[in-house]
Amino acid sequence: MNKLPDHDSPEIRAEDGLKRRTGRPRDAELAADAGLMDELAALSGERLPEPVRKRVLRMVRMRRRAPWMAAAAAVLGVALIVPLALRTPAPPEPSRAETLELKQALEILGRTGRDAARFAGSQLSPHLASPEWGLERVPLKIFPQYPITDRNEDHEKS
Amino acid sequence: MRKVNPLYVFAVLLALIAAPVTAQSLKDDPGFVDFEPLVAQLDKAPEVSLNFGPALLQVFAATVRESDSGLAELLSGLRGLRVMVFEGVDTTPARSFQVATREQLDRTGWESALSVRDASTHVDMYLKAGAEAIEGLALMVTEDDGTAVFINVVGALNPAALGKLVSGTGFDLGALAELATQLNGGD
Repeated sequence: MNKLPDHDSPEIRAEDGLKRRTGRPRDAELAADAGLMDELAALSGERLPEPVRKRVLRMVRMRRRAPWMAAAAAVLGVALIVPLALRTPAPPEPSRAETLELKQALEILGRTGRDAARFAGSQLSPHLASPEWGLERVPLKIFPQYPITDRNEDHEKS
Repeated sequence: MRKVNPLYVFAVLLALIAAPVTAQSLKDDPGFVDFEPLVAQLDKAPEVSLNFGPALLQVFAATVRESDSGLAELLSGLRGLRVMVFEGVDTTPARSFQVATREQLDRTGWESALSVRDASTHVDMYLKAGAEAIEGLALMVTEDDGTAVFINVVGALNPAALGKLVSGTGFDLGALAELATQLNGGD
């Protein structure tokens, strides 16, 4: 936060000393500034004629108003132009050629997708078949009341 | 403080607003895949080259909505559709492009949905998954007989809709055929 300068600070005392100076400062640039200030102070402050004075004051007031008026005009312009710029124009109706092209594109996409799936299936299916284990049937009669049957015949019947 | 000319502020503001409006294009879409360099590499124009942007696809979606709401729903989820079919081309540069594109897609977050090879055919299908929908599909097929198909679908599609498009089932293109017969003077 800005803090008001302490009236007893060295910088304030030095500034007051410069203002109340009686002689020329040693520094050449400061001496030149002081000399110019003395000459300007010595000029007579004649008052401008009233019509000229009013014109000057009116010009000063216009200059002060100009940036605000330009800013207001800018805001108004943005508010009007941006919605127009962002509004997309309505697209034209599709032509017969474009309609047929879209139909063709979707047909090609579907056909290529089906072919790709079929191709993938043809590559995968040999790897998905159940292997034949080739186990011999064990000739044991664990449950005498049930006759031994050929399992392959049972599977075909089911 | 130095005063800033309000006209400069206005000009900068307009430039900032205009820039995003003019810079939006399909190439900035995350589901977009650039297949155009393939044409230069093969040094041959595709037999079939079809390209649809978001505006035209939405027009079609609105146009067929009354006659086929299912097809309209599919089309409304699309932002771009690019189909290129080459025939009788040198397979080597086409396969090189396919490999390079695969590597690029792998690096940029695309997922391989299908990658199958045999002695004569290479098939790759990649998907770009977004937060809520699939944003892109890239389907590349090259065959030793010189046939090459490269397809890019850009949009916001749910898996069911994408499955219908890629399989060509679950929707009817009759509405488009009927629309074509109704339109005249557009050729």
